[in-house]
Amino acid sequence: MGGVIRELFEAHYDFVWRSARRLGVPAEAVDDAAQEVFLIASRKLPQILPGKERAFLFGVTARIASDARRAGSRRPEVREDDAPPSAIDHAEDPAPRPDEVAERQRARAQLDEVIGSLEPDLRSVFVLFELEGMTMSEIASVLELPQGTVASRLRRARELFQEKVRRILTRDGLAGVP
Amino acid sequence: MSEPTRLLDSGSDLERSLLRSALSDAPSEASRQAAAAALGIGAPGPGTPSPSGAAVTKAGISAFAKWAVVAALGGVMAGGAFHFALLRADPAPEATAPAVHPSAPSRVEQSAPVTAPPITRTQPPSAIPAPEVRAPRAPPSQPPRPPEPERRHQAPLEQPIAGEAPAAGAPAAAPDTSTLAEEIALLDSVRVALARKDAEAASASLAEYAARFPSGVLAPEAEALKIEVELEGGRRVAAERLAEEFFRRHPRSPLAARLRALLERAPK
Repeated sequence: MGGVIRELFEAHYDFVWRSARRLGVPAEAVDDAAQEVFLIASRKLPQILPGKERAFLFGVTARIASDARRAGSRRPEVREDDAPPSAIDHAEDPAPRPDEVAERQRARAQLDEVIGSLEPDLRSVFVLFELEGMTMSEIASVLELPQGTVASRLRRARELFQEKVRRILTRDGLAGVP
Repeated sequence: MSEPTRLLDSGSDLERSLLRSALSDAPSEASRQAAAAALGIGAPGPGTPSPSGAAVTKAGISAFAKWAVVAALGGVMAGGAFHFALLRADPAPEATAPAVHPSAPSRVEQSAPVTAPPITRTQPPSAIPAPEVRAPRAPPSQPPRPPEPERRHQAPLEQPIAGEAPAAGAPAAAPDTSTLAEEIALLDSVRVALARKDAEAASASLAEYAARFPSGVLAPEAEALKIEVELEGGRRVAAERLAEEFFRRHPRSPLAARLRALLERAPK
């Protein structure tokens, strides 16, 4: 399987990893989840249509993220600083101030909470548009949906996201967030 | 259709703050290399020499095989819900059409546990041997298993399997994939027999495994299954003795916690 799976891996590993994390896989489990995606893909290479590799991988990732979210809800909470460091932890500011780290972790936990509250259909569209930076046309291709469906899901996802953020603002009193 | 403005540009302060916290998501190089090793494709990436397509490393194959068997064992052991569920994960997105060829195998075929190493595009789907019986999915109330450090983090530096003596300074030869598939299939038959609570058949399959693969890549998994077989056969003392030996030889095995739980639950 060397050549094909290697190409798939090199072209899409980062995308799969990011998607897994953003779709709700806990930080400490993302490496495993991304690996699982490619192990599954390696078994199903003959079924992956040319040009649909990314759609296939994202579909598997979404499914695995959904399973991981359910498993995570039954698992003792792992602190963010227990998680293995991602590349950015090394690449960014080598010594961020403790309050910056705490703030970033809090923001990330809140984002996970908000995105996690979205229905899976909406979550995928939201993540691909707002975080992955895809166009609606690209999202339609990855999710194999009509563009109109993508647009309506995105609109609904954004409404819910904004509503949830407002609730967090009220709950946590973060009026002064920069 | 016009593109809406992204919330990163037009959202409220808090919305932008939350979204920005995810922009730095990226895998570490160690993550990439471990995954590549588990896939048997070495460690790709800029500046990293890639092994030839045929040079599947022993670490890679061993890691994959262990993953496959551990996942399969998880089905029977009922505690490995997470990884087994992943193995069975349907490739179709939750709300989207699957990006698969129309002639793809049926859902039942697709969800069969792994019984052979990964396949290439040149192989027809029928080349994948499938077990006769699929282990039941663990109930959702089961707690997830912890991450499996032996599989992922140790993949590039796989420790010697019991009974094997890797040559110092020389890369170990990759096991023949057909042999590996046979190992997996044989242990799978043990698992299936255990699922049927047929300790005798399970024991016979294990004996066959021991005879055919005295230094098998999956020897630790066979040892763990042996303990289960003893428990299933009501031989607790023997199971405890084997378990003690297993824990001593494989203190970091992902199977250890499960075996301890099985021993605790077994009738005294």
